[in-house]
Amino acid sequence: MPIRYNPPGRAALGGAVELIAAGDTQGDPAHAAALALVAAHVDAAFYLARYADVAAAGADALEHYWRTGWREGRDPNPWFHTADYLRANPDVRAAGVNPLWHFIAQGRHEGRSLRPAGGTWRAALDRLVPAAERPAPWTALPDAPVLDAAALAALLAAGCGTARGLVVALSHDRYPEVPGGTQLLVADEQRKFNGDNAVYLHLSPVAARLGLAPASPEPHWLNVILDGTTHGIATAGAATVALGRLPAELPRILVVHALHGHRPEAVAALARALRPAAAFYWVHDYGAACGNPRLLRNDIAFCHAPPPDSMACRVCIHGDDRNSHLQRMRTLFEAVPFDVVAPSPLALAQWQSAVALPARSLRVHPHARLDPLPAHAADDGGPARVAFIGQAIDAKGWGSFQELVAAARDLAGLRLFQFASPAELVPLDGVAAVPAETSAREPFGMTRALADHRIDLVLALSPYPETFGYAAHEALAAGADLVALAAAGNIADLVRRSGRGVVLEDTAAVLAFFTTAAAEAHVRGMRATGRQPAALVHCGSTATIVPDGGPAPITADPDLHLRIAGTRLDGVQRDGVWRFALPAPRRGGAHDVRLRSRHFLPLWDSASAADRRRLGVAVDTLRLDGAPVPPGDPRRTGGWHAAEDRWQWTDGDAGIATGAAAVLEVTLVPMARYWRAPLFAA
Amino acid sequence: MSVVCFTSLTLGYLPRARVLAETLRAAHPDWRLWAVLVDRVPPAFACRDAFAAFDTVLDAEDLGIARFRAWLFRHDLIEACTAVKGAALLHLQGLGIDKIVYLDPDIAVFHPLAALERRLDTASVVLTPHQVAPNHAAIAVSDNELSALRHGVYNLGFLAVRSDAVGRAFAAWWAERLYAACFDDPANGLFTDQKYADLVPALFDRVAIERDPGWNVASWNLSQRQLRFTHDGGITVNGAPLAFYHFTKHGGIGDTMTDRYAQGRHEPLELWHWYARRLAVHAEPNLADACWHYGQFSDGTPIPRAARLLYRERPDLMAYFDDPFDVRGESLRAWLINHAPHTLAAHTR
Repeated sequence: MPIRYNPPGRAALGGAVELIAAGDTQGDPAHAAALALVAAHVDAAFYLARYADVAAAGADALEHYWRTGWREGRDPNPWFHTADYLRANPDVRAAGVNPLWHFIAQGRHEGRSLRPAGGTWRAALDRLVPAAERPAPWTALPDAPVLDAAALAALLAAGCGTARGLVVALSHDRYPEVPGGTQLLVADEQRKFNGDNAVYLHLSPVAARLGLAPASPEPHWLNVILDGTTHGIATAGAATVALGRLPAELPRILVVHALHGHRPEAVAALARALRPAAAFYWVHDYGAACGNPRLLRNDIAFCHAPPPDSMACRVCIHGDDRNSHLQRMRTLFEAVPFDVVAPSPLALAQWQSAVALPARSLRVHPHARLDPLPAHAADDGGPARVAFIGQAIDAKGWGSFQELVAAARDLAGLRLFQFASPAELVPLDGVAAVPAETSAREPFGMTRALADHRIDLVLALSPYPETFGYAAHEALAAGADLVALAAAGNIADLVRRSGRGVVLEDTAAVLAFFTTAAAEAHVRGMRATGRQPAALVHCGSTATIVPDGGPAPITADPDLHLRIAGTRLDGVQRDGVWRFALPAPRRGGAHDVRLRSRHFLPLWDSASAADRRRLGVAVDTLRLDGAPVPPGDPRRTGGWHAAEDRWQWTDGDAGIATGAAAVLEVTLVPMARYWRAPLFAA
Repeated sequence: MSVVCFTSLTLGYLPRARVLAETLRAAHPDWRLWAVLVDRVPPAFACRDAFAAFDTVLDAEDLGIARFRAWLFRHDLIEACTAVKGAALLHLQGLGIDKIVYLDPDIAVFHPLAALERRLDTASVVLTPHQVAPNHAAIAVSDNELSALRHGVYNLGFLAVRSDAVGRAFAAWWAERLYAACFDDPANGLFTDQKYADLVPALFDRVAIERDPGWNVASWNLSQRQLRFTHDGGITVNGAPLAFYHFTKHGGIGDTMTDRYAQGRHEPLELWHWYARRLAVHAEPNLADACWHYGQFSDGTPIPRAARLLYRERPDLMAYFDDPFDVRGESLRAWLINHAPHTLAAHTR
């Protein structure tokens, strides 16, 4: 499709250009309209985080970008690259108008390219920044409390006093607040460990960056999240001291999900202080092999992790500190005997070929599985509905998708979509932008959105071997098929294993698949046999790892106990009755008594599970000093689900106002399946 | 028998020459690297540190070229840097060095050149043609093949010579030709030092024309050369290891040509971008304001190209003025003011 260029000059771009270029238009309605148009696409949070000088000056992101930011080559959001657009459209540059405004108001309708013709690679290369110059934005909340060693130790003591064990986990961001597959996994892992009465301490670097944080005498700051609640920030040194004060008999585990932004030296010190029974290292990416976790040489092509003294590393922008990176990783792995966990066989194979680090053990533990659901008849005719999921970045194949968008302008049999979080949606003509994301709060948001829009094909165009491909699993769960590049790692494996889609050699083959109507034929075949959705079951986090010879995660023991004023009180169980001898209440007050237990299966969250409640035990009878406390009694305070007949589920941590009673007796509706964390089972 | 590799440069090309030096050292720590400087180092600039990457720095004035300053005045910057190569080659041969390689300062080496050392066991002169495969698209034929017909079949960014009888005969002949006319004058069949090389296979025995696609890769032959990275981190050209790449006119028209002939591939662009990063690392801010010493009269005023062209055609002027750059007393400039003021009107080099 030829791109129509307007003749250079302002007149061709319409009267509004005169007003906007003049810059002195406060109160002018046309100017206000133009500003409003642009406002929707200036991502203030992104802009101020990216350009610290603008944030420091207290400038308004929209005003700044509108007036000066674009002239300085700054980008207003993650997907619009100001310099690329001006290079690709010299008449826009010559007219002196705000390029984002031009694209939104006019350029996208004309099919203007967001990047220079043939310049996909040059644009990517021009954006490369050496590691030393990359910003490391400060991610702590402005009023985050600073926890010293004593405060952190007190925080841990309060939680760990009655806990079965402690998990110390490291990843690269504050997972409860960030969408993404890894974040979802960490949240799920935390909830499951909490469900078996284990405390989950999560540490992420306050200064966010890809690759390892440089070694430095300056303190290394970490965000502290305990059982999903952010408590503030602490230095790695304070954390090390606090962990060293844990009671020796408390079982502990270390889990490393990602080391981006961490100092491996600090991790080794934490491990020394923690003395975990097991330390797990997850292969979510290839960060062990290089500061560039996707192993994309110059952020372009998969490099296969060649030797650090190879020509490829010499020419790659990430090669400069690769030797130092590998040395620091080796030092860490020699200090801490990690059990390496990979979410797919391919990821493990890549680990073994790309990374030469010692490991105590290696295992494959997939994040999720797909349990088939009944096929339902697929509907209509209508064009094939094809979706791109996620961020508009080259590492996810966005460049290839843009080529498809251009090629598809003349194809009536194709409808294109982008599904992404609102900040990542690109207003391209011919692409329906659907806000959708998967997060700890909305674990099945993407799957639901894909199913609601009856997507037929989802593109998986990552140019590097994905270790798992969570989005691809979401696609299959929604009943879509996948169009995957052979280079896309586990996603290509997934297609081959499931038979749900096609694996194609390169971008040219992908374009041919769509332009030659092979795609439409594939979709017709899919619709004829019926859509095959699946339940996406989150089965694979550290919480569900079963050690060799270890007990299964399912137990008949609900581990029913009381927690009174921070102390654990076990009862005596005889003939199905748990009998607790309650201590005398403190002078002047009543106890804070909680009935705690493991959780009833299914704890697996699944989009298709009918009952999504977190269920603890089903309490049949509850007596205080022999007198029944029936469901609905106000002495059953928080943590109780709605009563069912004569019994009532707890949520695993239910409150009882015991008053002055001396004995509490509980019977349960017998269930055989409670979930326990195999790693903490005695 | 150690190999000496030399390059010829002005201070403006020092960052490039440093990239050549670092890559050559990595590939050949056993070779010695000489720099022939066709320039003067400003007093404030520390010469020893600047050229630390080289084993020896030769001032072109010390090459024994007859009436050096009077002769040099005829040449612009590119012509000057190429004109001294013949004399430099003779000088190195005179020191008894057996195998001599010349590389342009804007070349980077990516692989050991052991094959070249072996070549010089059986050949006295080694040349690399600009193209070793025919072009097809009209624009490529024009940019590449027709250009070679104007500027020389062989690219003299690379040259290798053995100091045997043939090698010495070649060096003597070439130095003589360069002394007489090393000019950018394609209309008259001259292009600096390079066009002369077209005659070499005819005039001399034991001349090797190296057609390995990994040698002297540049925008003018990219159209027929596929650069790829291997899984173990090597770089290949049509399957052969990349030996050395010529980053001609990097930052100028070379950018456009590389884009044009990269054939939509990213590998040449990755190399091109790497080179920009290395130049930035080796940048010499102290020299940012320095001008080419031989581009100006002794009082700092630039020498217009018209003045050089006139001087070129007047052997009597070259015979008369020992130092045409000097503006004191009875000077060439005074003569030009009186007899050819139009040559001083244009302020271009």
